[in-house]
Amino acid sequence: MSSPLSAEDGDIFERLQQPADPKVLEEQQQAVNERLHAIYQKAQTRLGELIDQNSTLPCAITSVQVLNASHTRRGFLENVFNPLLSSNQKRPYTLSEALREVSARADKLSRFDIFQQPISVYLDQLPESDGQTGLRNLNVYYSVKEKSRVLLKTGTDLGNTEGSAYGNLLWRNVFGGAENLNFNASMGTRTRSAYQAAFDTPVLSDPDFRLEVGGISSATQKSWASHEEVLRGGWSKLRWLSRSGHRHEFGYNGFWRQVTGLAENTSPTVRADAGDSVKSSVFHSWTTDRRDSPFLPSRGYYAKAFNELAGWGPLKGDVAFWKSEVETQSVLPIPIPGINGDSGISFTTGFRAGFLYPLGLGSDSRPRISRLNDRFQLGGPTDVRGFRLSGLGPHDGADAVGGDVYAAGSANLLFPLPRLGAEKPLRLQAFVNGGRLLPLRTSQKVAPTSSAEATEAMTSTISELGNGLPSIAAGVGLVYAHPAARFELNVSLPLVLRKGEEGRKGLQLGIGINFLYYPQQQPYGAQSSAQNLQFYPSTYSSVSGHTTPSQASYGGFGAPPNPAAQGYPVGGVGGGYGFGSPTAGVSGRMNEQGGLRTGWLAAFGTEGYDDEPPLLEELGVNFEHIRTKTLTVLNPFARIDQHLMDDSDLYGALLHIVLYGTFLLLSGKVFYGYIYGVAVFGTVALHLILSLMSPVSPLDPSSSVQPATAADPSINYDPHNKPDSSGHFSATLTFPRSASVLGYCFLPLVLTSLLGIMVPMDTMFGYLLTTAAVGWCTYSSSGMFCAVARMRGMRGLVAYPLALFYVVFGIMGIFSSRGSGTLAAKTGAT
Amino acid sequence: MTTNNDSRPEQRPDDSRREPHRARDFFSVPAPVKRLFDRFPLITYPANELPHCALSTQRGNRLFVFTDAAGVRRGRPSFNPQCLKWQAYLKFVGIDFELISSNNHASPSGVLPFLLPSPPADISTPIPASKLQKWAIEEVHCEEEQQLNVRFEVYSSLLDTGIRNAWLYSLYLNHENFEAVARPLYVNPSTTNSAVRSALAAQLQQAARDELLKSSTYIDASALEAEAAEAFEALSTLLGDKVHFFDRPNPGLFDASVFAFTHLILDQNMGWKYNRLGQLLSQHENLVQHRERLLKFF
Repeated sequence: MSSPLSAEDGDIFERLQQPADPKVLEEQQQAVNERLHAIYQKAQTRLGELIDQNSTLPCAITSVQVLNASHTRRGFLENVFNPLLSSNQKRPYTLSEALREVSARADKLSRFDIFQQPISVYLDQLPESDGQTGLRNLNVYYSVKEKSRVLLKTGTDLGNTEGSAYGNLLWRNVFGGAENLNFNASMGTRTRSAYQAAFDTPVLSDPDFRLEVGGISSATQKSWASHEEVLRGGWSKLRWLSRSGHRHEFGYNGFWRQVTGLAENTSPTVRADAGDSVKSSVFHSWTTDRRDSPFLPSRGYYAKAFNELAGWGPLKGDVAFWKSEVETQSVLPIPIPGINGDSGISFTTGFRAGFLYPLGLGSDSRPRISRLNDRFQLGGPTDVRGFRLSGLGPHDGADAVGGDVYAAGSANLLFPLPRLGAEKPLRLQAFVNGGRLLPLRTSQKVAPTSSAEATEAMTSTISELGNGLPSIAAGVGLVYAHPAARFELNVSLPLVLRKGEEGRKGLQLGIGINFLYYPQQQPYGAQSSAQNLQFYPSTYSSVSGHTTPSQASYGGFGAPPNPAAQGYPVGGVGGGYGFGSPTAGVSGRMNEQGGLRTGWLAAFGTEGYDDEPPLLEELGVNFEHIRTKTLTVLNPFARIDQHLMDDSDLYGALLHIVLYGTFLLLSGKVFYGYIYGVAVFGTVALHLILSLMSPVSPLDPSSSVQPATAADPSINYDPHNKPDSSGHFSATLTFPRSASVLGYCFLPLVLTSLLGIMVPMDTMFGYLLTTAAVGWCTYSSSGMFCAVARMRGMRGLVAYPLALFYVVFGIMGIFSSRGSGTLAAKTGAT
Repeated sequence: MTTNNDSRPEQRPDDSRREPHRARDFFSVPAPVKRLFDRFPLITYPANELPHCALSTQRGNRLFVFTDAAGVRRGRPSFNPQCLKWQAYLKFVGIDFELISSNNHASPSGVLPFLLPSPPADISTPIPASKLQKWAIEEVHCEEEQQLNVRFEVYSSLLDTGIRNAWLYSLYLNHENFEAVARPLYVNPSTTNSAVRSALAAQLQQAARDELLKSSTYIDASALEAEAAEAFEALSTLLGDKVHFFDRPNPGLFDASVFAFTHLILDQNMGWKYNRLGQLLSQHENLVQHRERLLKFF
């Protein structure tokens, strides 16, 4: 076997020394991954089989321990886990039953949203089984990690035609029983200010049954009816999720509303309702959502019913009404013959209707006429499209005064974009929508005096809905479903209008989740509460009757069922049956919690990721870099790092230019215009010249210039331009870099001009100083250009245009300053 | 060459005229699209009815004041001195108006009274109290009293500081009066909710306190009353035995200003619990008679 090395074997060493082809490496890695995956799957299948075989094995759960839950009350956990213990069960578990129960409890635990996902579960079999029954005794361990208890967030939101900044404080697990305390403060363009606090707690340790108590104080600009609404009040409500997925809310609202801050030209109808009113009401809402996605559903339906009773009987308050609203949406996928699976084409219909029935207040049987802030509003880019915000319904002058009865419907046809396909969340849509909003119609136009008259008025108003066509708009547009919000850009035309109603011809942009036919997803349910703090739930709209964002926040009604805790267990611990969640690396879905906040306004939020760099840094304002560059310019002997300008920030450069102008201003002349002009044109021209001079690409092996740099991998890094050099322009010298270099090297002249404020520059001293400064600028900038653009042996050539550029500024400095005036006199300047 | 040179100057003005035209077109909607858009909406129905509202049915001048339902029906004097001053003035100069019971939130300036002129006059731009006199002069061409008598301003300041401060104190800061008079008139009509009522009451009292602290560093009831007594004395001397102030044939703005306070102070229906101002005022018989004369206008 000891054959001499053949020529071929010698080759092997050579080949080994060569760096591996990345493609080959990638293939190898892929193969390894596939193999690992296969092994894992096999193990899982085998384990599944093993458990299947033993699934009828009788066993007992003797103890349950929750590890690391130091801030959680024992009593609370006992409520969750007591039913699991065999001592509380009538008959022994089979193994599969026990596992199912254990995993169901883990799921329940995770829905409280106080522990990080995943919750690991371990089973341990006690060495001796129960002698009498022959049962195997299992100890269950839940290993949890508590989420951080205090969460402080600040950010900005933009949407629903409103921009706002907010701060939010969430205190989780306040008393160790998954109670949440939530403070929210925001200031905005429309919601002038809003402060809100809410406390919610699970009832009887059930994550699907929660009690919430909250209070709010806010001031909201209502431009559609030229007033401001100041709101103070509180609510309490029970929320529960039935097993079949119906969500219910039942609660009490008490709000003190103030219609104030009326504009000069506010209509008499709004003026009549100005002032204070108290609403005291009980409400119930029911929602069911069977759509596959709230933003861009392709199938399913959604339904919601809301009822509110205010001021009736013992409720008191200043307003009395019964308000009822229904909302439905259904989506049908349209199959295209010849295309397998989803064609991406879907047909969506939506319908909404509501009425406000006046009631007598307390012992007074005369029905109370509705107030402006209780009436419905209709229309807007996220409501009935093709109309302005609250553009439908009765208008007194420019003010939308709202109505007591409304109905609105829409039909949309959505197509995937050609070439992009159905997978992309982008659709073309054609829509027709319309609606009517009517005030209570009374015969002889007097307020109804009895409930019989009110009923008559209501029926006559409802029948009026069908009189003539509803106000209709149609259009086409583009829909984009971001995971957090839905964006629509539509071109719409009103087809049918009432006088006074404000239709919108042309483009209309809608952002948000409040779309009429995409009813608002309640924040609880799909996501955990911390991700949802900025949802604008519709609870507030029950305050005022229309969709005013309230920035109310909810605790989670339950996190998604923990995928890890379901199905059969995997992995083994000790001698017992292991039951651990698959690790994050395998499932790849565990760490989604760390992603971006998914509140619907997050699309425009400034909140960002957890470990995001600070804003200034993202904008490229890095003071450390600015300092380094400035020092490099000031020290003519410093070695110039060729990556110095890699981030090419323009802020330092801009700062120098502005400073120069300011110093010249202080010394007596306004030269800003000239400075900007010369700077811009000079920079563009110099960039063109210098990039023509610099080598095409240092990476290009055909280029003879500096092959050594090819070994430097960091050259590949170019934050602005991909290194695809087309034409004769430099690969490394981008325009921002040129501008940056020119601006930074401007520093000596800036210092000279600073001196020029105090010392006359139109003297021999000034000429010398300016010349020196120009020389310095030229020297450092030419050095930098050579380093950045990787030019060799042409520094003199580079310096010449740069010198001309700086001389112009130098002369400006001289002219601007006082002095002997010799030069100024010769040139005729005064 | 020459022909070329000749043709150019002709073209240039033409070009320059076309250029801005084209630039404007670039930003505006193209004509065919505009024609198409103008065709929409295809159908325009008449306007929706407005919700039932007391204001929209009345067509005359509407003066928004603090008053109650009975006051609105019978045109009785408002219980707020500022409102009553203008209500009386408009009556004296002979302008017809209807009273609307309202509150400060409804006013564009934040205080009552204000007036919505009858629709044909102006597109319902409200006239605040500060511009009411100017409006009235334009409407009925009455005289501007300030210009007729130089002492007008001097005596007005007596009312605006001396009497008004004492009035604020006795109405809002005297506990008995506040509970018996101010609360039922100003607070209770706003809402039926007792918590909100007490919040509003506290706001109201604080506002009065702030107003008084503007003119002095602390609130001294007896000093305020003494000041009011001096003011009554001066007014009484000014009126003398004439029928109206400044010896005018008809009552005017100054009479209205005085009447606004004297009427409310002497009005039995107000239900004062502690009325030191009333005692002070009763000493001046001519002021009491002045008030009774003017009350006949209502």
